Amino acid sequence: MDTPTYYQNIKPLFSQYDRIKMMYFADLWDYKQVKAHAKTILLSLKPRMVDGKPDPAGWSELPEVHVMPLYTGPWPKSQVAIFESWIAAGCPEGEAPPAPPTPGPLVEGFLTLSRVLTGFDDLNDKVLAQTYINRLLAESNAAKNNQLEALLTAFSHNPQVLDADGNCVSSYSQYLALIQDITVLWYLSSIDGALGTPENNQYIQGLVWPAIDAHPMGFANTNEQFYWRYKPEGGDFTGLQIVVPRAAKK
Amino acid sequence: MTEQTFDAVIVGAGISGALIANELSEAGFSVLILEAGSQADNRQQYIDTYYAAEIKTPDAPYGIQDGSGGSKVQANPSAPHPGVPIDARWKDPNAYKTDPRYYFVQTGSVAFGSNYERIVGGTTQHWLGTCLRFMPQDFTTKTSFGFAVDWPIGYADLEPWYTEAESQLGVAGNVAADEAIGIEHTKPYPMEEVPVSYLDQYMGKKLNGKQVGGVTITVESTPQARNTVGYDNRPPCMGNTSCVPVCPIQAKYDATVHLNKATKMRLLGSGKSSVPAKLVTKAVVYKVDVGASTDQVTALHYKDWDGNDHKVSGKRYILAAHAIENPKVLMMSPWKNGKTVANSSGQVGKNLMDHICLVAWGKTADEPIYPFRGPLSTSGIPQYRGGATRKTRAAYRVEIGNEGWNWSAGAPQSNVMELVTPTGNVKPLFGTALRNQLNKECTHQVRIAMELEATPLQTSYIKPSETHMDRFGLPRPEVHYEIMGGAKDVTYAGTDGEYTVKGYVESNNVAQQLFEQADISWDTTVDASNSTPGVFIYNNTRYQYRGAGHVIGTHTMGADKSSSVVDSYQRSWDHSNLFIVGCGSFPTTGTANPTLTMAALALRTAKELCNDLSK
Ligand SMILES: Cc1cc2nc3c(=O)[nH]c(=O)nc-3n(C[C@H](O)[C@H](O)[C@H](O)COP(=O)(O)OP(=O)(O)OC[C@H]3O[C@@H](n4cnc5c(N)ncnc54)[C@H](O)[C@@H]3O)c2cc1C
Ligand code: SF4
Repeated sequence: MDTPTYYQNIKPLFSQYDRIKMMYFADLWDYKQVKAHAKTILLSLKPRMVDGKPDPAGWSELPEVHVMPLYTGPWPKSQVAIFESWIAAGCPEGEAPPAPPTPGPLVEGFLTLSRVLTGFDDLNDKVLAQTYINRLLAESNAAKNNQLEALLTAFSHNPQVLDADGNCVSSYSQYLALIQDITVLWYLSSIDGALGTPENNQYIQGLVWPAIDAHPMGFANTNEQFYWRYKPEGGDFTGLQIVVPRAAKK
Repeated sequence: MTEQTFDAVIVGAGISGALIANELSEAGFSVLILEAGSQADNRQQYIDTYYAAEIKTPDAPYGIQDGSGGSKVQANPSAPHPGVPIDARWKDPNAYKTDPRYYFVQTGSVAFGSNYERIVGGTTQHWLGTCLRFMPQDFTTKTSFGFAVDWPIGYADLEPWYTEAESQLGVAGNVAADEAIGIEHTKPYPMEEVPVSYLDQYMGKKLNGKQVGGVTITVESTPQARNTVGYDNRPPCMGNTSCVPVCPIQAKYDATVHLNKATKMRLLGSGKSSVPAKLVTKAVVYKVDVGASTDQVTALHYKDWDGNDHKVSGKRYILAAHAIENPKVLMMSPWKNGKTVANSSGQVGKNLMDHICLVAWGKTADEPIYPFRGPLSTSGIPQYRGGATRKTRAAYRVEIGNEGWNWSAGAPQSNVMELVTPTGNVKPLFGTALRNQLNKECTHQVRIAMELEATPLQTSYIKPSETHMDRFGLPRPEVHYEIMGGAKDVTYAGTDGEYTVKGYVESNNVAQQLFEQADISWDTTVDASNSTPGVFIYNNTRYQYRGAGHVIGTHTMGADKSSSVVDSYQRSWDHSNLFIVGCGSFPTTGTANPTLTMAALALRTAKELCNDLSK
């Protein structure tokens, strides 16, 4: 086999379950973190065995979980070998997904407008904002002919886009279609039904999910066991939250 | 052409094939599994494809769509499979050319609304995982109620195999709830029940102990092949809410569990080791050969994805290719006296059934119940499954969904679109008002499904199409589906065989009463067009059903070889070295999702095969 790389050979070995269980320690879907902790992770992949069971004494840096993955059983030897040869090769990154765009000059204004349109005051992901700006420019008919720039300029002079009922005021009605595109994009990561790719997490960042106290279908980013039996309260039990065990916080 | 020989050749790497392969491999027999589909490199590819899919249908991760939107898994023209039909194109045999979902050539008066997968692991890749046992009376509907036929075996014969299947699949459930409706267990479930959702608790609060539709009801946790603790090296459920179509962490059982076991060399308790089964993927079986004098099956033919022909033989043959593909392959295989293989009874392909599903939806009046969280369903109402009313109309099971109006109306995406881009004179909504309104609409959504017992009918069948072929020139399945006697239009009043439809109408009334008792509005609609799949008219009222995915009855078992295709071991009456397994063997649909019963039958068949091969 060619030298294994993170994106091609290593990341697919970590399931969502592994990732969430190990989140208090490192994010297994983050190249830099896995590289930084590679030796410790290797230790936990082949723990010292006592009487056929992993040694319960804390022999590694890992404060709680000693064996990873916890339930999917020990990795086959061949899989551990891939991980070892990846370390031996100096933890190469491999072909990373397309680099996220660098936030440009429109981002600040776009985020301020988006906060108003979506009702999410805490919207602050500049990379995602730039991703959406790029998509609007490429995919939205309403953004053609510099309409996005024009809307942002108008907004910088007059931030009153919505009336008290949440409807578009008449002075902005010429931009209605674009305003709709921007709002739907943040909520669903979709323009005219075309969805964002998962590489930069557009689907799972859709605002529709936090808006309805739930999580993206197919991605419950939580370690609150059986969270669905409880009433969601302040972000808890929505399936959106990884609760870091207190003892493990550094 | 290449030729090899094995103790057993299994067609299909779905759940029935995988369970049998695993048993035979443990017993030391050499097994070849021929599987039409392929497999993604890893689970994440299915998940990424699903995230990128515009419409999140059950087949979205497996590439039925055209591979746009960043999908990693491409639609596969070599082993095509149907999707769920969504519009009038279900009647158009040529729609397949532009949309691979329309793989079936449908000629019946109503639409067949269920689908299956042709990938490694089969349809359990996208099943929900509900694992109910049949009720004892489900096996004796003729004797008990004068309806259809009895099974050649009863609950007591199958009970030990149910126990074994629950242990092998890893079922979480509550025995007390089963025993309350007469389903006795000799052993408890291997795992404690899946905790019921907040929404289920609301339903329980409103409905427990109420009299609705003549019975006293309770909301009960559903037994399901979904881990509540680490089990069989798979993690407990994390509530990803995408069990259909893909569980990202395999907390939900799928057939690759047993396939992986069967194809590995394992040390067994006895000190012996298993014989790893050989899995050949991209092998589309299309013909069964029978010896001229012996009536024994002598070989199987398959095509690989490059279109090359292969021939293999073994001592025993097991068709486990799903209830549509099993009869199709048989009917493509000539035998003698103008008959096709295994078909002296003329029953191959007949009695095509599915639980027809009434989906009902509404909203709670005041209290939000927070759907879109947890496994797609965690509870049901079991009391409508049995009783004397089965003398006159179909019984049914009630499933309570946790996914709001996702199945019924495409929520929550549809709600966003309705609020932000409304039609007519409604003003588009933005900002905090939008967020609040969306929360209000979606957190109150409830969906239930009534899953109706079907009627076995000679007029409802599947056969290989004579005119419409796939890319290899292999016939597409011609599905002639009827839910009543076979009227020529969708108006059923006055025809016979109304058992199922009468049950359907009754379940519609009960659904309305359940909603009323639970302070839920009735927002259920029937599509405006009569050509939409599932729309039918009965006594001047329009109704709409959906497929349940439970394809049943196309190679029924029986006690008499003149009226059934296989015996109770799923052995062909005509060819003693041929077994035809899966839900197609069921003579009737019963009132439970079928796969646990199918798994129990498969394990019983595997035991028979082991005995047989040891002789
Ligand atoms: C959306 C949905 C949800 C469901 N949920 C539930 C549920 O909750 N509970 C329940 O009990 N049941 C459920 N079911 C039904 C369940 O999935 C099926 O009963 C079960 O998977 C059938 O198993 P099988 O082994 O007979 O067929 P399959 O699982 O379909 O496997 C058949 C295999 O044979 C292969 N094959 C087909 N043709 C050929 C050929 N010509 N040559 C070689 N190989 C071939 C296929 O590729 C496939 O791998 C659901 C179904 C659907 C569609
Ligand atoms: S809820 Fe999620 S984790 Fe649980 S079985 Fe379904 S998909 Fe898997």
